[in-house]
Amino acid sequence: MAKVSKFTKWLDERTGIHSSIKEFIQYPVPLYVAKNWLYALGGLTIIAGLLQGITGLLLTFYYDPSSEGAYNSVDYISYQLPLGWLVRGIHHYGASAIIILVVLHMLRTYFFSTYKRPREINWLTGVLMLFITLFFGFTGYLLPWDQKGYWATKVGTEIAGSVPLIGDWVMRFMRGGEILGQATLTRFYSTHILILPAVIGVLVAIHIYQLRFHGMASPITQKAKSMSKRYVPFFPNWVIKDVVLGLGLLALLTYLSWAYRAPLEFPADPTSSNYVPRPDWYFLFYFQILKYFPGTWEAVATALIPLFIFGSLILLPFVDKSDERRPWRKPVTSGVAIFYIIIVITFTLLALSE
Amino acid sequence: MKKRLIASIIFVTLFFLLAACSSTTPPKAEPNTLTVVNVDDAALNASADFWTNAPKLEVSSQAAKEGNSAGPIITLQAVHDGNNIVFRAEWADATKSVLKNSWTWDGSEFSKSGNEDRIMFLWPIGNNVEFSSQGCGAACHNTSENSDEWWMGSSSEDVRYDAWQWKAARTNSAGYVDDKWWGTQEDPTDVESAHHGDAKDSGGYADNRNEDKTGPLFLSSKGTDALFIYSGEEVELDTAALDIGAIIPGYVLSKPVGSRGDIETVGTWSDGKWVVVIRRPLNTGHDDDVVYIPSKPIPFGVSVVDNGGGVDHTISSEVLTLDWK
Repeated sequence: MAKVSKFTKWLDERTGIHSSIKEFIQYPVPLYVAKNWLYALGGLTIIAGLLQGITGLLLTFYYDPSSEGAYNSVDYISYQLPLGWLVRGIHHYGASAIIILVVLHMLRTYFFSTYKRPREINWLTGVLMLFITLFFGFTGYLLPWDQKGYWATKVGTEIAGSVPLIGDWVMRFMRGGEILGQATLTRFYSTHILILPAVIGVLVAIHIYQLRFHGMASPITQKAKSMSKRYVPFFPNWVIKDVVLGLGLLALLTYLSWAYRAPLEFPADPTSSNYVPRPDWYFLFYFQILKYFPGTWEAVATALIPLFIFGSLILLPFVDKSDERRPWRKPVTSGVAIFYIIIVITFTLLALSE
Repeated sequence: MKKRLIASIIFVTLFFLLAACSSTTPPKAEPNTLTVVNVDDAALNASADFWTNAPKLEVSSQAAKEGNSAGPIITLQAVHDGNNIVFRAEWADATKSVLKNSWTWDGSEFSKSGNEDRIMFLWPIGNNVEFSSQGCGAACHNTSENSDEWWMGSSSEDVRYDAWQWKAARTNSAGYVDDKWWGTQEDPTDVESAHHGDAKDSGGYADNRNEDKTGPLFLSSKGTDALFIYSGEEVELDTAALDIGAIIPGYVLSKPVGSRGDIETVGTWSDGKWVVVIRRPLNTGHDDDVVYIPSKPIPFGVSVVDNGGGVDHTISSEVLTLDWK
């Protein structure tokens, strides 16, 4: 033990890492935050991201990123490799879980108005991470090289291609040419396992740094305000809470992987003429909305809807500058959020029912 | 205001949850999908209780050759117990045809006639892109104007098929399904050259005919009324003992030993329909057989023959999928 302590001291003298970690884990968390489970959504999202990273890394040991070998390698992972079904299942369902968690975390931030000055950068990094998370899903969908992934990607890139002016270039850039093939798979794979993890890693670091820099936003309820002067250390109080939630999430993902094996459709057949493509569930509402914009209007909607959604999210902290943070005193912003939630759920249900 | 907002959020959430639940009618069977149900003991019994809980897939069979009549609806079910998979197939057939190439004695010589009913299953061995999206059409090479040149098999050395042929005359009463594999056409002039029987040590059906192919070699020890001659029951033919019009089966039957015979069956015909159950280990350990992994969907095709053969079969025109519950 003495040797370990001596080594720690030696390392700290040269790197300062020990004191940095100590400072990080002893960070005082307001009691009203520690007691509210809604504040655990951010930590749980990071845990879900770590699970995705670990399972994704394990999958790369066996995945063959070639259009000839991709399907068979995923088939091998799913049906022959010991516990391969579990690793792939956790990765598959984890992808959905992380999107749900990111959205819930953003809704908490939205309703508590913690995007306001001086936390704009935190909000913006969050919006970018939502975008990156969706892009993770889009790029990962193709990798099994099955019918579902192939045709959903074909439609997805065609939608991108219908954007006025730059659409054609964007589509060819995404595909690595005119058609879906090896170049597309290589681009999606490298984006999925290299570019997006690197970008999201930087964004998470900025996000956490900003959180620590500004501290938690002040409470908005009387009950929380009564606890605002009391603090608990980040470790163990907050960490234990996140670990418990993380284990719960892992248990849920394990159950889902066991009870409903991650789907793998038949191998991609570019000559197939009767396959009906569908995106993953979190893009269904958008897919459905586009159906109501025929012809050239579809191109306009394709570009405008995402631009409007992400533009609104980005501009939000610069538009809503009032001091009021209580959602029940902000009927417009609360109403807008509820309206969007209804829209997304309605169009998702409509798409599912077709 | 705070309470009102919380109440409205709860109301909206509940509304959509209820809407989602109410729209969730019992899960519809996926189209063209045969769902295998897990049971305790997958017995080779067409009347077993577990069939009441096994989803039915009704397959409309279409003529393989344009202009021919469509075939019957084939009703399929499947169960497994972790070791074996059992299929139950039922289809209408007004006539029971079990006398393929049987010999009829007219008092001075034999004439050969008759054919049989069949049901066939076709499975790709390993992942197969074309079969997965085209079904039996991927294995059907019917572009020649002469239908006698049509052949079924693989166009690539890397692609093989597991072809099961339940034959009412030649295999059913011996309790097995003829287990074959299809590869590429080895001889362009021989439409059967893509077809190979699975490996066997002994057994299988054999022609019951004499050296100059003018009549049978054996009778059944059970007499001329016997519809089938089983190996071990054959006795030397004595035409003097035959009545005019006596019919002698065209084959001597026995169950093959080896991969050729690892599919068991019981098939019965009554009231104008065949009911056939077929059982096979999920993994036979033979490389000429498809491997079933519970949870892994597999595409397949099915066809039936009414007292015939060759191009006269009727097939499932769409890709069928075997999936697991």
